[in-house]
Amino acid sequence: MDRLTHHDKRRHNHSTRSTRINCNSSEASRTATADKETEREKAGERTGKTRKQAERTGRHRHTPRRSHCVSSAKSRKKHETVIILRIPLKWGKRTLMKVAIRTISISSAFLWVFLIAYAASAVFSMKDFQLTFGTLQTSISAENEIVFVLPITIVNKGFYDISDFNISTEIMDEQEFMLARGSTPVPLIGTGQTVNATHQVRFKIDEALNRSTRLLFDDTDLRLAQTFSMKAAETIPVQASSNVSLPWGAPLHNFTVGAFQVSGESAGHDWGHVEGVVSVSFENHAFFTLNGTLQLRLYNNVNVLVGTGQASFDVPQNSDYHQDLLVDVLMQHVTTNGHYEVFVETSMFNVGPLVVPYA
Amino acid sequence: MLEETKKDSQGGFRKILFRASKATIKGSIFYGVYFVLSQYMAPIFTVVPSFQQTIESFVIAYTVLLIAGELTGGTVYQHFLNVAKALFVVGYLMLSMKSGVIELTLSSITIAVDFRLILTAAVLVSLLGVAKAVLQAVDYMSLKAEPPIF
Repeated sequence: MDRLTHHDKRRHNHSTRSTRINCNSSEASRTATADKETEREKAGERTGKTRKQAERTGRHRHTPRRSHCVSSAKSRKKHETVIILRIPLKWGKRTLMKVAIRTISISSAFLWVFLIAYAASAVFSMKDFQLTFGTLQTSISAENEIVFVLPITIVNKGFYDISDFNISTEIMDEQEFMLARGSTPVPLIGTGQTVNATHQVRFKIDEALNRSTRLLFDDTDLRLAQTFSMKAAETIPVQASSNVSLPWGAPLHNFTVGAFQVSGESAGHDWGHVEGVVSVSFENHAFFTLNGTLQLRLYNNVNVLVGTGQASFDVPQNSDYHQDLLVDVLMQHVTTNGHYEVFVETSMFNVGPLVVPYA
Repeated sequence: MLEETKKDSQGGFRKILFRASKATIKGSIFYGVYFVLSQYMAPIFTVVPSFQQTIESFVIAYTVLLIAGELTGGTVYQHFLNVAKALFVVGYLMLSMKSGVIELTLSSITIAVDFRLILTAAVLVSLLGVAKAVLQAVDYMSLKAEPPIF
């Protein structure tokens, strides 16, 4: 093997060049010939080491035998490069995996501490949040609306700002029918800040009484649903809600329309017309004074208008009203049964027709 | 030969003793931290008694897993227990917080606190713990399978 023919040398040179180019490909290793083995042995002799010795030093430990595609010093350098590329996977005795585990441990511990500290401090700072309510005031606006006014004082002595504070009130009747709604937002309450706000709910009594006529005649309890919402530490939404019942006094409580009674003979310009009396009574249980007019229409059993009457009234809060209304009727159309239509017009509301049968 | 066996058994005993003492110390520290924190959380516990029960059951289960993990240190069971511990934290957070909205009723006032954002963050951090435990298990298995080069 020491002596190579010219043909062998050419073949050897050709194969060495080709393996240099394709030294990383498996195909190159597959095409390695016995000449390369020879050359490798020669190279071993040049460096004074046998293959076994080289393996013992550890340099060729992970080099697969089949991938020995080169035999020159350059190709050996290439193998060394492959080994050097593996060195960054080791960091002293600690593997890269251990470094990753340690990194996760540290970051997770840091995140847990931060998260727990943040959540705990946010919750604890809530105890330094104060919400104080003043006395509920009621007034009547120029548009004849009942206005509930509730002064609020918000004190934030916590560690964090409070954002999106909102107080809302809904007034509903017994059948969950919405009568009024109001909300007061406070965008931001900084730490150590005191904010005074006024919460208002406007109650359109005319609209409410026309929608829910029970409120006109029956004393009841309205449901007042109050909701406070805010974002503690600008991240934790907190909501508190309460239901309070609000007594409602009916303005026309115990409303009664009596039977038609003829008070005299022919009354006036045309014969057949008589003057009668209809007694009307009610109790004003509302928290406001009622003043206005009451109009009454009398219909017979075939829905023919028989007569009308009108009276004005001024009934203070918690007072009774009783009035005999004079009604001018056409006697020939009067029947033993029929119905009244009552219209009540006040400064606060207008209702009607309220249909009351008579017999 | 007899001396070698004696030395081995002594080494094994020492190892077990070391693990047991390590588990005891870790368990004690964990309980100590809980004890100190519970003093601060006493006002919350009086308002919400169910919260104390929830926290206590969590501490018990976690301590058991922690001690068991330490006792089985150096074996693959330690990694199983570590993964179980991390998964327990994730599951516990999700189940106990009931979708992250806590409701309290104090006389006529109902208070709802939405911890969903914090819960999401906590679950994500717990998943880091799961990832760590899994990586530890993989590392342990790979070290057993292949002797170190250096």
